[in-house]
Amino acid sequence: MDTEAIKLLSAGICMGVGTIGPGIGEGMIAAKALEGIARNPKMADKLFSNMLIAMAITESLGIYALVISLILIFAA
Amino acid sequence: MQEISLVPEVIFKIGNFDVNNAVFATLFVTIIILTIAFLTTRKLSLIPSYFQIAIEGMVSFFYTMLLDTYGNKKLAKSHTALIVSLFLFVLISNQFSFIPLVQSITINGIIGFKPPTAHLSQTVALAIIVVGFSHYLGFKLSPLKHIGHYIKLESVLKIRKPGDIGMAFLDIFLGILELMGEVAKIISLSCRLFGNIFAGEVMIAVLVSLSIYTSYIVPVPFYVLGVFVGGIQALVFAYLATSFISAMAIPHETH
Repeated sequence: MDTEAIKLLSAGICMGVGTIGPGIGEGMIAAKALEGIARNPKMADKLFSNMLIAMAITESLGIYALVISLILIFAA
Repeated sequence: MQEISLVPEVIFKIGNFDVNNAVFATLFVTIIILTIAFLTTRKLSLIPSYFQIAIEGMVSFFYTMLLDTYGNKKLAKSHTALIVSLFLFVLISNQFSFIPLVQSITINGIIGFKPPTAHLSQTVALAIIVVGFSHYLGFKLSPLKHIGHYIKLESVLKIRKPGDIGMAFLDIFLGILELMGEVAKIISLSCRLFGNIFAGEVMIAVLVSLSIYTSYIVPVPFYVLGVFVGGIQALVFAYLATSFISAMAIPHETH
């Protein structure tokens, strides 16, 4: 394999492996938030905004993988 | 296919200073913010216009948030200015490419305006402002304690018996870990914003260039997603800036 092929392959693997964790995490956040909303619908607005914040923070792990793979493809 | 690059393209030079399209767009974002500030403060009235309500709502949203975390009116008031301007800057820069026709303006064959936050240098600068400001506050509050938080020489001075040496080494190591945590703060704060915005740009660019059928209607949902993500990321940036700054600005007895 030449360098270009390895770069593309590793970028693909990086995204594939790197999004497993954030995916599970975001699912758990959504599940718990929905549980909370179902228990106490009055709190829905506050829970929803907090859920979005927590999701964005969890998602950043996936974004790091994305940044790495983008660097691999375009910059390295 | 539209050229995708991590490095912004240089449009023209002033002396030794490269004016690239990110800098150029930042200039326009600043002008937009100045215009908003000018328009709101010219005719403030007790019976507010819709525009004034929107801006006042935004400021008071962050003010109450800061007041909840600080419990100190004076500190909250002075920091609201920083947090709101960070929020406004990030929000407007994120949505910059959704201004109609702005992507088709070219200067010397280069796209004139790119969202400033889609470049790592811009977001790193913002993150350094936030983290640097928090350290300035911590240093102002209690200089020795703040430095002692990272360089833990205190336990070295306390060595009385051989068993303490191990503890001293552990403390110094923990201090180094804290220092690395500060660097990680900058990286995480900047990469989060950059990754989200840049990924949106790349996704739309790839989708448009896939084939002739996907270049007109298909990218629309992704544009909507981009607007949504831009707003959320601006809010998250402001929230995290608040938490970083408030962690340093409030005197804490524990640890």
